[in-house]
Amino acid sequence: MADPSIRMRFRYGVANGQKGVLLVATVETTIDETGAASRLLDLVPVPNAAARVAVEGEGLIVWLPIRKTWWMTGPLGKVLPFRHEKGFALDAIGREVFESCDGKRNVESIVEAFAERHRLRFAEARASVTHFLKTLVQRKVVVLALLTEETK
Amino acid sequence: MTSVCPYETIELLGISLEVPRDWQIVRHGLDERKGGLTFTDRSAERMTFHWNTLEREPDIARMLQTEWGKSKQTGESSEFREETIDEWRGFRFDDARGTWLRAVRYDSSSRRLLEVALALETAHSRSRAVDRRLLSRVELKKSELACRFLAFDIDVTYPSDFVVTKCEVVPASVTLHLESRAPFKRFGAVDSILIRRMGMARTWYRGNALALLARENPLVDPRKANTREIHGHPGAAARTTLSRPLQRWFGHGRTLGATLWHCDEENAVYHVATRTADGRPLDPDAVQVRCCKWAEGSAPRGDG
Repeated sequence: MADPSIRMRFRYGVANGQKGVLLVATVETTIDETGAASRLLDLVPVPNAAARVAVEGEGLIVWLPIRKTWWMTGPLGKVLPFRHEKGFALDAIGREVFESCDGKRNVESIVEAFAERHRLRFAEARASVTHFLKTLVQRKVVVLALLTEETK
Repeated sequence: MTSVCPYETIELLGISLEVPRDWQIVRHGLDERKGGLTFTDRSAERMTFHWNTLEREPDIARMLQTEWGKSKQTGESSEFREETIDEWRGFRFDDARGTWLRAVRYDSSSRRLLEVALALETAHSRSRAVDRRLLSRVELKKSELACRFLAFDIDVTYPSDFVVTKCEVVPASVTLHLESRAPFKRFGAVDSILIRRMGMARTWYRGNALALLARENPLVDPRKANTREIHGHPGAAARTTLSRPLQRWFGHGRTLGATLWHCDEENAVYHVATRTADGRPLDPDAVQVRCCKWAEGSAPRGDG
């Protein structure tokens, strides 16, 4: 039975060369629904392979290519200066979380490391990290993958 | 090497209990007469703890039978077997979520009926089994002696004529509001205390305690603030009396006191603000906020 508190849409089949990885485009959960949060902890954040990262002070700017629609690729696209990328600026804490999304560690281990570093309780760190990850997922900076035994 | 204690003490409203460190409070009540606490671990709900003030001891055997009837409808257990743990009386039952213990106790000194539903084992792989003896560590105090709040990483002892009115908990920030039980009725104002613990200090705090104190207390005159060492940590303190000349003449101005310090061991900034309605300052020793639990406990909190 589908868990109503987590909604998953599987869109792509390949990320960072890992075949068969199921990518989760949207994840909706709350920390109070601990059952949902527990499943969320098993997911592995994978950065978007098409992202370009530029260091900016203590933070980062993640540049993502913009998918061009048909009218942008036509003659109009040659005349008008459409931008090819959009950037997301991350502060030092955002950078820390983004850099820990290496496609190997699951959300639980990222939260544990975050809690240890900032001397927070696990629940506090989970709320902060999962909220931030949700933002990154919505902006397609990372995807949350459910790694199966075959894909690990 | 220091041994890691897997339990921590929670104390509020005169109720003291020890729970595993990786449990968190997800719901809490602040009414001394009736309320509850709900604890979860990383995966599932582990304990609900309710209290209710009753003048006379209820028929606990009947209560247990009623509860058993409810549990039998949803659970898988078939036989009622009463269990006794110190002053607690209860029964065990199984359902899809795991093995639960429901127990009841009436404390005649505080006149409170306590009801607990404790998940001894759950179906989740991340959850660890707990001992039913957890209930034997529950202690109760009379309401006039209930002047300690130890939860959400805040450990404070406050004057006995104050009561906790509000507790706001968000990640890395906990704010506790206390008010005097006896309001100063002439102006409708009450003495109040605000205690705030702001975590992740290294990411946002640059060491300027005076500036932060002024920002947190806009009514406090920054010229009267001074830096000082508080509980062995760098901090700042200030006191201001807000009053119109006539109020000052009759001694009815409001006195604001504010203290702020940075505890590096906890990576947190503590802020204590007091407000008295009748012009007299609140005794600074009346509110004791303890920090450096991280250094004492030597264990990463929340990870048992």
